[in-house]
Amino acid sequence: MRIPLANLLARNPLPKVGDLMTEVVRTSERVQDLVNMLAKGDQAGVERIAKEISVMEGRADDAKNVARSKMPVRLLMPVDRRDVLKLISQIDAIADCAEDVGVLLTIRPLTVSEEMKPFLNLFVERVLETIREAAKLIDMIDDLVESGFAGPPAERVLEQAAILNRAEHEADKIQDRCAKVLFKEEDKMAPAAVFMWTKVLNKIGDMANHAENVGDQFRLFVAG
Amino acid sequence: MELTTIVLAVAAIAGLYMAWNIGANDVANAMGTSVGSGALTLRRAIIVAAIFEFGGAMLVGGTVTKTIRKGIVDVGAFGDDPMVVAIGMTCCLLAAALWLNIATFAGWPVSTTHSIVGAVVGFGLVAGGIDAVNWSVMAKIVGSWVVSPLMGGVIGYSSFVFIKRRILNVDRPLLALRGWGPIMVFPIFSILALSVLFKGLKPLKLDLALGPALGIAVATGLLASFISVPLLRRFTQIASKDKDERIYRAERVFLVLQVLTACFVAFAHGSNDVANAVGPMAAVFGATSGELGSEVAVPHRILLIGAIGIVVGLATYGYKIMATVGKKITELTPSRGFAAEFGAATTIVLASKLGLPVSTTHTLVGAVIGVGFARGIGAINTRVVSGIVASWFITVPFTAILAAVLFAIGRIWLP
Repeated sequence: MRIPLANLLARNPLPKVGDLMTEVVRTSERVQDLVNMLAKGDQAGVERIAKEISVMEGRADDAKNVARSKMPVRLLMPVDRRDVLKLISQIDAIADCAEDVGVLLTIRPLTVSEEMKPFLNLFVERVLETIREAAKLIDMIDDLVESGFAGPPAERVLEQAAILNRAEHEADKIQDRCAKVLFKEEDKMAPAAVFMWTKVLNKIGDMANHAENVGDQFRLFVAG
Repeated sequence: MELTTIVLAVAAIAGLYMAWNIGANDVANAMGTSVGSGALTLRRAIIVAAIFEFGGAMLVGGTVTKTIRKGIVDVGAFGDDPMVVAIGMTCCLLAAALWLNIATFAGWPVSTTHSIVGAVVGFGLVAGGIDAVNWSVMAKIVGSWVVSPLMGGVIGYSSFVFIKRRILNVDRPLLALRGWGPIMVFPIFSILALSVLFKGLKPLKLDLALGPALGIAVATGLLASFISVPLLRRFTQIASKDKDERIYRAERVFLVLQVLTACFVAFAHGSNDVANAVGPMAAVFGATSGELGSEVAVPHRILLIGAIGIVVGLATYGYKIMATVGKKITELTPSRGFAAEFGAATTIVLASKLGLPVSTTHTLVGAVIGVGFARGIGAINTRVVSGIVASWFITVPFTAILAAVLFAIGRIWLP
């Protein structure tokens, strides 16, 4: 059949990003378990969950590759291809950081002081909250495409991006608290432990930072 | 059997086949969006398309037919034997039909119009040499092939940007539609009326000059606008608190407007594309009845044959393609479909009035891309676009050579 009109319209290449985000959220949530094991002092548990996270991160990578490969070259899209690719790598970076947290915690067994425990828990919670807010943005893609990247769906995206920013800010604040607690106890700790703790806290914080970048990418979609 | 009879029979069959092809393959472009969005059932779409295709072919189809029949090649340059034109134009129909069959089989987005124009040029070159082809007309035609998708695109783009800004993206889209709806109805009806009234109703002796035609067209548009006011009011009455619900309702209203533009496209398509089948056929019939080169208008019984052929193609095979197109272009929501179809139909009707045979398919594709540029479409497959550009360069040479070869063979039977 000679029906160019039917072949002209391609499926929206963005929804595959949803699958990737689902995997990434699932992977990130395991960091909570990881920290719980750490607080319990269960090093074997830490190692097991770190391994699980690594496997899950692999699955997220697969989803990332699908998202990338399913983005055809010969498409005229309402958003810049490069922006979509950046979005994909930002989402993927969240899972990468989650994996790194696991790796760091297995390199040198760490203990969590009683004073640190509640802050660390809260910190991870806030970071995960930030990631969930980013996931909400991904759910808005369909509406955004539907509305031609303008109007009420676009406004909702900007509102959600603002919520995401605030969530990241909250996570940041807790991260600072954690750091303060850490250095209050630095005399009681081995220097290597302090060094590793700093790295771990930064990695967990990076998860939220990448989630925030997802929001910025959406701002670009709406603005462009 | 006499040669004239054979030529006439072959021309009639080939012409009917071309018309059937146009009806079967191309009408889906007009109605596909309406079927896809559920505005029309397949059955209703076929009936509506048949009516408007037929109307377009009979009322406005004559001008383009004349261009294909006499505008591209100078039939006077072939000597005194009318059979040259008769056999030549028959070969053109055969060449174009053959090429369309190949393209349809391969799924290439080629244009019926380009096929027939290429064939006529090929025949002209062989029969009368380079001077037999009216190159200034050809330049205009080829130019229109580039301009028509562009123009369709620009109108489609502007229409959708307008709809987006003024209706879809405001707080109360339904209220906006109540205001803007009648204003959008106006151009559809006045352009449609203008195309019919301005030298369109020759058979009924009702054709008007530009001035009075313009007046009546504006009046028709205004009338339609006024009628649409209470209708739109009824459609938009549902007051909903939910923003999404309101947009959804607005799209429902666009379903109605979209059916209007789909009719407009069907009409435009009939007016432009009937010539692809009927133009050469008219030349053959004219030549065999001794009206070679005379200023007789296209006989309406020949237009009627073309119009009937289109409708039959639509009814026998077009529904199948329409169902496929409808399923595949659901992404084109009613508001987008409206914008694209309005852009395409306006362009095609204008081209028909100027006697320019443009490709309706390519124009519509241009209009859809225009809507895409307004960020109205998820994604556009640019492969189709390059296929179309490629077909510009392949179709015309191919059908030209094929028609030339066929004519060189057919010439053997000339006395």
